[in-house]
Amino acid sequence: MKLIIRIAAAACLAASLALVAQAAVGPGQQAVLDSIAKLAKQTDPNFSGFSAERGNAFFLVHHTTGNAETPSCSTCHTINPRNEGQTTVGKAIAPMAVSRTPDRFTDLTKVEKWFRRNCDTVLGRQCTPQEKGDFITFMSGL
Amino acid sequence: MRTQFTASLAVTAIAAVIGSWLAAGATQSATMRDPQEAFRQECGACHWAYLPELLPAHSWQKITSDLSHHFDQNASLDATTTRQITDYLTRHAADAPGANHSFMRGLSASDAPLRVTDTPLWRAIHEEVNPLAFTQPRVKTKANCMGCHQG
Repeated sequence: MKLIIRIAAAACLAASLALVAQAAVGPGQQAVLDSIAKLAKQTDPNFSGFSAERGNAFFLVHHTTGNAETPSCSTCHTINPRNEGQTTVGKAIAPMAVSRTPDRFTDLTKVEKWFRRNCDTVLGRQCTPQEKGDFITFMSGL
Repeated sequence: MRTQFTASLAVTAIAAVIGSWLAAGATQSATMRDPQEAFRQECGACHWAYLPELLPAHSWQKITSDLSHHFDQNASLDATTTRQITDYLTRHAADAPGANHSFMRGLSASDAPLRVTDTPLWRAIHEEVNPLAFTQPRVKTKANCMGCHQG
């Protein structure tokens, strides 16, 4: 009996944690994530959701396949997405973290425009739906 | 003496360009995205939205015809926006009818520099600027006009 209660309590805790994690993503960001998830499922049969942790790693990693002047997302956006960034020609970039710039990742056309440009510049290729979703999930929880 | 004259001439020319730019901006509607607004939003997202009168129409056409390779960065836009911005820039270019032609100084009709900093007038104006000024953290590059000219 005790064991059943414990299992039930653990299940409740896990469910509420999942709810908290979901609640961190605003409705605007969630709609964009849902669209990207659809694409991810189409292109990857093993797709099992997005991960903020992977998004964090992706944001920080240095690539050697793109423009050498901008090897990482963090080159312009700084290693802390809560900070303001700076373009290579000195223009300020509003923080990527949704907590600091609430309308980030709420307009799919705008999101796709910037991934198209910046993935090509930084990675020398287009990003996968998985990478885009991980990135947005990470930024939405910050 | 000659340098002073050139400098004062240049300052007058730039003041005239900026003045007419501001006057034009004041009459634009703020509610819809007109060509000038599209230019300012899209191009101004990454760098200062250069005044169209700083380069000839051929330069702007060259620049906007390959935005996927824009100074080693992908700055591509959808076709409609690209066309709208190209049209706006060429209509107000340094060699456009009715425009301030100061930046055509020393350029032939077929010249199409891709950088404002490659124009003879820009070079004359900045001749005596210490090269180290351009690498200051708040300036970063010669392309960042506002690094020195504002704030």
